[in-house]
Amino acid sequence: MTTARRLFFLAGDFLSTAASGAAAAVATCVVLPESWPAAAAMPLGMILGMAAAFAVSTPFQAVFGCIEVMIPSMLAGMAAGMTGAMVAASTGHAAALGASVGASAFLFTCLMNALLRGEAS
Amino acid sequence: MDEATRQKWNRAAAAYDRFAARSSERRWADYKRALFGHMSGRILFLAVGTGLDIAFFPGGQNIVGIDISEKMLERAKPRAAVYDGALELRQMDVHELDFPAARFDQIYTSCTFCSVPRPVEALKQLRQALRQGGELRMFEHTGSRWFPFNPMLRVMNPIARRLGPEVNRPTVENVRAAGFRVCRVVNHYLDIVKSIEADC
Repeated sequence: MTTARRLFFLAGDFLSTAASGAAAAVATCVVLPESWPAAAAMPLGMILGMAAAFAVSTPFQAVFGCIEVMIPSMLAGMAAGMTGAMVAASTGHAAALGASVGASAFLFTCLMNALLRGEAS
Repeated sequence: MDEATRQKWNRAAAAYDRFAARSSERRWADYKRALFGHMSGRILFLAVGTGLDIAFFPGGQNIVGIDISEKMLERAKPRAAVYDGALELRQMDVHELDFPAARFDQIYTSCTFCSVPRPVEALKQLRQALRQGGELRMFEHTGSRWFPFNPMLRVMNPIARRLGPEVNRPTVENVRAAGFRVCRVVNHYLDIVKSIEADC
């Protein structure tokens, strides 16, 4: 694969993951009441976050690849959904927080990919 | 023939190229070309679909491509027609292969065993269709052994199964369970997208 093509796909993965994280955090911030106990808000936030990430990442999957977009985006949705449910104070704050969680999910997936790809033992 | 599977892929045929051709096929082109570059002898290509993978086949081969969906095969025909070699397309369910035993030297699959309803049973059918010492070469996505991908794929799988392919299949273990000897596994993306080479 050429460097330009590799960068194209990496940029797509990153955009999808950041957008999925932002959408997941905003969705949980809007839907889940602040007064809910963390024990209920976190798992519900995770599920809601994954649903939001799925919706946002689907158009990206059509352009940049299914599994490679879906994995970091869903991870971002899961983590940002939980985080949004716990700490987001406003939708703007949730979007920024979710995008940061998404960027972290992208970096984590890249790191894991560097460790795991290649000949399996 | 598994009617539910046939109808599922018939329904998917119209949109399949728009969704898959732009993204996954482009992303994995080099890897598929490398895997299919080992083609030689009498070859069975499983789940040829709309024929997107035909572009990656080396020329001059003798290949039988099967798929359960006649609508997928309809779309594959023009691609098969321009292939520089012998490529026969047939509608067939992998659970009920209609070939003599030991008919093929090699069998290839490409993102197939995420969707085969009874994978070990189907792999046993493939084993029968391969000659002694024949090769199975697969490009597949599977489940992961690693946290957090493993539980995440487990959560996603019931929904993914309804929409199309499963995302949590233990395909390497299934290949072993069907009686193949797994020779080599190369991970291309995490431990999820991979090439598997096996023989019998």
